Amino acid sequence: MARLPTDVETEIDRFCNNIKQNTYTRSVDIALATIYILKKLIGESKWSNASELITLIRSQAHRLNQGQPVDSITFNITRRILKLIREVSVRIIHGKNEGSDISLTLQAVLNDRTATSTINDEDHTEENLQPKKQQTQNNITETNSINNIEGGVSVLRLKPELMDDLNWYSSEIELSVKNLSQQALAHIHANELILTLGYSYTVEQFFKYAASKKRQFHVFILEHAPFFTGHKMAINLSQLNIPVTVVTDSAVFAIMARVNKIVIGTRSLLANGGLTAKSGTYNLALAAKHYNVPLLVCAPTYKFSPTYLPSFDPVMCNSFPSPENILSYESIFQSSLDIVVPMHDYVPPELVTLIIGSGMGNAPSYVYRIVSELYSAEDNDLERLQKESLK
Amino acid sequence: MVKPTNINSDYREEERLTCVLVLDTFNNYTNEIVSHTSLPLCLWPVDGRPLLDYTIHTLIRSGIQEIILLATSYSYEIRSYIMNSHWLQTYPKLIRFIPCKEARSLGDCLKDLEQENIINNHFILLYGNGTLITNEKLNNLFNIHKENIKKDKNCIMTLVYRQLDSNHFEHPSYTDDQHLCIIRDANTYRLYDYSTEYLDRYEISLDLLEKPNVTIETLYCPLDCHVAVCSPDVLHLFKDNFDYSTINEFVKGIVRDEEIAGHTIYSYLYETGYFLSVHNLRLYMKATFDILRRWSYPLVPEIIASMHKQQLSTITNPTLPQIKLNDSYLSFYNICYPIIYDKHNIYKQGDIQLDRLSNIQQDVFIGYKSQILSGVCLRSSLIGQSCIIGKNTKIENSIIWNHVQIGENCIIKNSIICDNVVIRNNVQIDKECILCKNVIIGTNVHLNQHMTIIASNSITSTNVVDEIEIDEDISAPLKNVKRSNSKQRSSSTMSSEKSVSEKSISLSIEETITSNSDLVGIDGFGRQLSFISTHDDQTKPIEHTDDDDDDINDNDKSQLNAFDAWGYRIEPIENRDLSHDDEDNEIKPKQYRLSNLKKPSDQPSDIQSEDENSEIDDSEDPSSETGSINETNDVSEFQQEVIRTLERAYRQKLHMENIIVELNMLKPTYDVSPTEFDRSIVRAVFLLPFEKKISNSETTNYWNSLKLTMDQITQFILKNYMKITNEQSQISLLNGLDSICLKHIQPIGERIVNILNYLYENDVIDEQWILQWYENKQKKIENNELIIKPEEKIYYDKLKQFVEWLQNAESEDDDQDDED
Repeated sequence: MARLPTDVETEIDRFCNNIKQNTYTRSVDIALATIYILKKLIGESKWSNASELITLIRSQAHRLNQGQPVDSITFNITRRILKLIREVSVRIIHGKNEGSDISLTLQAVLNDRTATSTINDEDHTEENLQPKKQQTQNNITETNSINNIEGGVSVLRLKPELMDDLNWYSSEIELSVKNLSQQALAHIHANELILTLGYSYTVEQFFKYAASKKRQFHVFILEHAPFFTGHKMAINLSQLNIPVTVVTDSAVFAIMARVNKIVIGTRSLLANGGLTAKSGTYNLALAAKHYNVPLLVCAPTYKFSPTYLPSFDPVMCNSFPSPENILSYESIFQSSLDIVVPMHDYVPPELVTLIIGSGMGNAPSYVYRIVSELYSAEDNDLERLQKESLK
Repeated sequence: MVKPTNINSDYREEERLTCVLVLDTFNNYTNEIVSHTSLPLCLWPVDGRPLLDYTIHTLIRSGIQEIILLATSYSYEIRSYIMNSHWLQTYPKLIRFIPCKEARSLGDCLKDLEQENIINNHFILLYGNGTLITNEKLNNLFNIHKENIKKDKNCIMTLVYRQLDSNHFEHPSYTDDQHLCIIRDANTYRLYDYSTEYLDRYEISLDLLEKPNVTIETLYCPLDCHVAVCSPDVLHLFKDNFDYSTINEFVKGIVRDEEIAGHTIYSYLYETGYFLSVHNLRLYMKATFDILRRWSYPLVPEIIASMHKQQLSTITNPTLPQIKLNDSYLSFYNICYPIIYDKHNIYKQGDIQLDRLSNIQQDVFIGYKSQILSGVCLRSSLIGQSCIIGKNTKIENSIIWNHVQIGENCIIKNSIICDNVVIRNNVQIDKECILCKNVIIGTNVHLNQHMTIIASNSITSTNVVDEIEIDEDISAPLKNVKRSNSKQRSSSTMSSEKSVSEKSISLSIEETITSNSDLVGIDGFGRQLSFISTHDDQTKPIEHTDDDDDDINDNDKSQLNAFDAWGYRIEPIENRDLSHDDEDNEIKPKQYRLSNLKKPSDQPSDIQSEDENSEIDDSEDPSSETGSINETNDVSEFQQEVIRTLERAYRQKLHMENIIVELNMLKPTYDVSPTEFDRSIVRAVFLLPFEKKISNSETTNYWNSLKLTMDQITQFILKNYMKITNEQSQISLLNGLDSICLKHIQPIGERIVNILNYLYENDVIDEQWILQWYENKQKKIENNELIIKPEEKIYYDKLKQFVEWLQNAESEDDDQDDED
């Protein structure tokens, strides 16, 4: 069976520690680091065929995501790479003359459909009988069953093609923010008043592009207390000669009537089109709904997640940093004082107007479609696997 | 594009960032308690992980590439923890472990480190147990230190503090042992003076204020992070000056010798961030609760726990078989269960049994496989693994380690309960108790504040004697037991496991003797651990029976720490006179404990009690006892001030000129007449040996300590003020000495021969004045102007003896002269 070499193990541990200790400032960095780790894993560990590789990656997926209970970026990347492996194996089996990418993905979708039904049934037997099965699989002629297809694809043919695809994928992610920001001119019109919340690298690039094309607009920035990332955003934008006004979070309803459009970033985009975003976004979205101001969400492809909100308990999908930003340590010598600092908010899809992905804008109701194209359905259970491993 | 590899690689080209942790508090009281828990303080559990883990996480976050651990006692436990932890696998070559078993102080540890010869660059030194919890990144300290060096080549150390916004007494993580007064330049942050003494007033030398381009700034009680960025030279200095045993002494020494050696020290003040250097039990509890309240984010339990991958200790180094011995203590750290965070800061580690009717309020950590029964009320507490908490028990602000059983209807507040303790029903435990390993508390027992209950016989520290309310006859065999244990310990420190098992056997035999049923109840087991200071002469012979993991005779008797394990200042107990009186002896410690509890710990309103304490301090001063009543307040105050000055001068070995300048400055401040001044000086010189800090050291004999002080400073003072040619001052000196001797016949009066002889030989007093003075005195006695009381007779006899000798010597001299 496939096994991890020790240096990949340590690499994974370090990656987890880095994420937990917030060494990566941008989500792109996390995405790129995940690809790097998975590339290393594929390149250096021992596996003989595609299905072994898939089980190996799936077994490591929850470890990669340990650092970030809220974010799903590493999961998304893992899923996407699993999907790539499946695609590549299909391509190898059916020959390169199969046709364009579109037909391939369509076929993959079809395969997914059949696979979900078969895999769920075989789940238990598969693990126990894996070695035997593979031997028999090699003898069986290539049929429609996806397991057989993957089992038949050997390292020698899969690895080079897969590495090409991974390189292409990582460059796609590197460019995703740029591609996204290039749509700015379509959304930001002259002399508009645009509201945003806190600092987001993607949103900053979005405004930057619009400003570089000489579009005149005014930005209101909610300061995002108590982290005050909005201040950083304001400084960065004002250096580009964009007129900026910083507004306190509590004034969001009061200023909403003046605002033409809202552009925000998000931590992750759920399959139903809902968001987990910075705390205060829900307020913002509700106010926007009240005044019918369009709410645009910038979400690069790697933030699309095929999962739904695990629960409506705000604690479960949140993180709680130090209360230092709110009251100084010295002032609290009474234990009766309790401070709660949630970092994230859930915004339901009905409050979101448009999601700006790397390619084009989509309605939140369309997210499920994109998600099903990006990932194969059998990998949607990664989160469930993680929870099981916790127990 | 960011490099997805380790961020540490950024620094690799320049130099390795090194951090040195000294994992010992060097506090006898703390170490004594620690020795009964079988875990060193740095491995005490804080929310499921050892304290040390939080520090290592901090350092890794700061991009430190090499962590050097210096461990004294317990080096095996610490080593076995490090070997089995995931650190070595995730970050090979990160942690280096150096055992310093012989080290008795920070200075010794650093000397050992110097010998290893591995430090070539600047390094961060974490002292004071080496366990710092912070959410700041420390790597910028290197840059600050380097910039200080760029400005001033002589800079060898940068001390790090955290500024406090409020009164330090109100600060939750202030304990008495962090008292500090710094005088520094407000622009360059260079340190000019440094004092950790607990004084009413601090003196700034005038030269400092006259220096050009220096703006003096005083920092009173900043929060000491116990962090110092050091140049490699610091190690050499520690090696060359073996009297530097702590950082305080080092800093004082460097600042004092600044003109000779030319080294300087700078300081750096953090203005934000959470800092807590855990070096006593109060701070240990503080750290636990602060982490539960997420002040240390991102170092919070659920994140830390998820960082340690679920692993069994499969990889153990086969070359080190001893390491496995200690596994039983540490095994619970090896398996890491995921922690679920719930609202109101409640942390649940893996599988726990929580009754539906239990009331878990907030800031609670519940360990793996613990059972909480119905009606239990928990608040701000840590419950370890596999604990059982009985019905209707109430636990507040307490730390409970692993495998603890607590009965029904108990109330536990502000206490630490270690492994395997059993608490039966209806027990009440008050503030700041520690129940060490294996203690059993019987039903209906009420433990008062500040108790330390132990169940093991091992006495490991030099200055510890158990206080058991039994006859001397029974305690005698006990001492033997201690000795045998000590031998066993010293012979087999390697296999502490073994000694523990033997100990437990001996425990069962000794149970009737060691267990104090008055304290822990009939069905309980354990006795109180108490400390008697070395002032007490009676305890001395016993003290040397044993010592801390070190079988060498401890001749340089470790100085008693001024602070107890909870970080409270220990008031000097005036038990010199009471030592013969057992009743008083028992009452006295209680009094001081009570006064301790009034200290500013939780309630800010208690600052006043601080003043009270200092008043008590003053009244205990021996000088004020002797000060005559008819003297004005000013004079007696002045005299105390003189004594204090001399004492400080003696201990810090100040220069003669400086002392005299200081004394001269006191004269106008207190507005005393010249005769009063002279009298006070004389009195101060002879009363100086009574001062605690001087009599503490080695000699308790009055004459010996007087001689020491005389040799060093006071004879010069006398010479300076009582010129040998000046009749008036010589006579007043003799009169002063006379009155002191009469007041203190016991230690001083009977030594008059030695004193006068000393003064005579050192040319402080000329013989002609002695003779003249004695004649006058005799005349007075003859005229019945002076009545000799019976107890004073010995003094006059001695005096007469000396004068006769003096006359004889003189006449011999004369004879010789004649012959010539």
